[in-house]
Amino acid sequence: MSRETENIVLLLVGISIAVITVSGAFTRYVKPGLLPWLAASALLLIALALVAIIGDIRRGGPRPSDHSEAHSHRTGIVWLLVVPILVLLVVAPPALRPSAAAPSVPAVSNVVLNRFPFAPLPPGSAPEVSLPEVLRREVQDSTGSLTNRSITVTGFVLNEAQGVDLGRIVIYCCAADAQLARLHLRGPAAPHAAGLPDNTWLRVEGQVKPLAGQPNYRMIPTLEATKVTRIDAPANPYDYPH
Amino acid sequence: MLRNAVFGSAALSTAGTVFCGVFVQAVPFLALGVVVSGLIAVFVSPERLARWLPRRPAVAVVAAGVGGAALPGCECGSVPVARRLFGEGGATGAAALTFMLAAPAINPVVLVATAVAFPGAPRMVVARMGASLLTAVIMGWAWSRWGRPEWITRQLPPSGVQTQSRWVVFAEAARHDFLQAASYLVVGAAAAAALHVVVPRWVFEHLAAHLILGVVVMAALAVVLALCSEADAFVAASMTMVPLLPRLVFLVVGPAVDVKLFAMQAGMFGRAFAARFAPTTLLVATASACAVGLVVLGGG
Repeated sequence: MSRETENIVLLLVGISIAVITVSGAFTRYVKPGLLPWLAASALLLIALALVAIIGDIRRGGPRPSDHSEAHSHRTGIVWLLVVPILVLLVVAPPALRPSAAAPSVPAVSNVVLNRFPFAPLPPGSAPEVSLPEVLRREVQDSTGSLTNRSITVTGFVLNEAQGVDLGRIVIYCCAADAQLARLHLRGPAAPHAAGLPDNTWLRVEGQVKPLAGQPNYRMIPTLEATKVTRIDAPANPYDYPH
Repeated sequence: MLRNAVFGSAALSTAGTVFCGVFVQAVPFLALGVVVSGLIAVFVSPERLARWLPRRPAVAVVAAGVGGAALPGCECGSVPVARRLFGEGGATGAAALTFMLAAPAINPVVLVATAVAFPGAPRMVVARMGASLLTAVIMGWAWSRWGRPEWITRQLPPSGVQTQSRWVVFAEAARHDFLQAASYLVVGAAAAAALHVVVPRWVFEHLAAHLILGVVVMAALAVVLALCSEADAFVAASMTMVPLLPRLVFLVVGPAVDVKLFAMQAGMFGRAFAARFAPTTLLVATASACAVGLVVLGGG
């Protein structure tokens, strides 16, 4: 690959990062906290490409050292950078769909490393609690803040053989470390969710049924639903623990 | 058409999303890495680096390992930095490799993430730091004892420090290192994405519950998944069916060797180097993690 083409590829990588950062599409792949770093990286890459292009034009051609044989025969690998440019700008893969990709997304575990008192739930009749937090509170909270308390949980429909589950994908850093958090939906309002296709987003009000016996990682808590509302998919498809 | 094919197939769209996740997540760290390597090209000549390091090579390696704590970030950024520090090999080569292995594993950001992920097991942080540092130092010593300069088949382009302004040297070094490292990152991200879809999780979940088998499976899993070293502690913490020792192996092996690092090392140092360095690192990291784990965690 010639030096001029390399510069164009570098410029396009910078532009693709800039595009997904500005459009917000990057939240399908990585945590939102990376926003300033992605923006800075895009600026850096675009600047490096422009500096090289403008410098070459001023000098009236590429730097002579890059035409030496030792360096030029292995730069073909740079063509691979066309792949992420195409994937990010043209294909733009969707956010992870756990029902379709179940084997590759493990369940969030809720092992009891140690129980400790959690901060009390927000006031109100049915405060919003994220689905992974419901799992954490259920097994780790020594104050039992979920007992006999109505909460509101957001997630998507997962149709299983035994009934409907409410799911949410958790990512820590990027889509490669995604995990699936889920609750069983039961109770009077659960039939409203039963006919819906997978990946339909719901807001569910209800109470968590206390787990029987010693909590362990295979247990999935059950939400006794009293009200089920269909909602649009949220802007941030994943839940981020911090 | 390409877009429809990806959206139509569950496996392809998952692979595509994981590929984007690994690549996009690595870009900021790579950018930080090439800025540092550009600065090294300008300010740190091999002679100057050799003067900073302790005279005795064995001590220089230990100093480089501890110095790794100063580069906060994950493993993608440390490969180009280490390549610059490596230079022509020579006196600073072993120290550069030790730095490359230590930096992503023992920097404060990663250690804090590990402490947060294992709230009930603070010894995990100590064990991770100890085992990773031990791996890095052993590999540095091994390189100074058995390493051969002819394995390094990829040379950096000559930087005309004498004739060019510092700014041009910086921009050229950063540009070159990004293009090289990012191209190989594409190979690694694609491999990680494919393995994510192809290898069913239940294989690992069932095999890893056994202590000895678990060590082997978790080491393999660390290589295959190619997670960022800032996130791997959370994944390890979630594998609750696995005893602590195999999970420590996962945390020590992951930042030192995985499919994307192997591809990047092959690109920056040469295939002959990577084909020897990566498997050796895998063995040393697994052994160090087991040894340190048995002492610190008591085999639990």
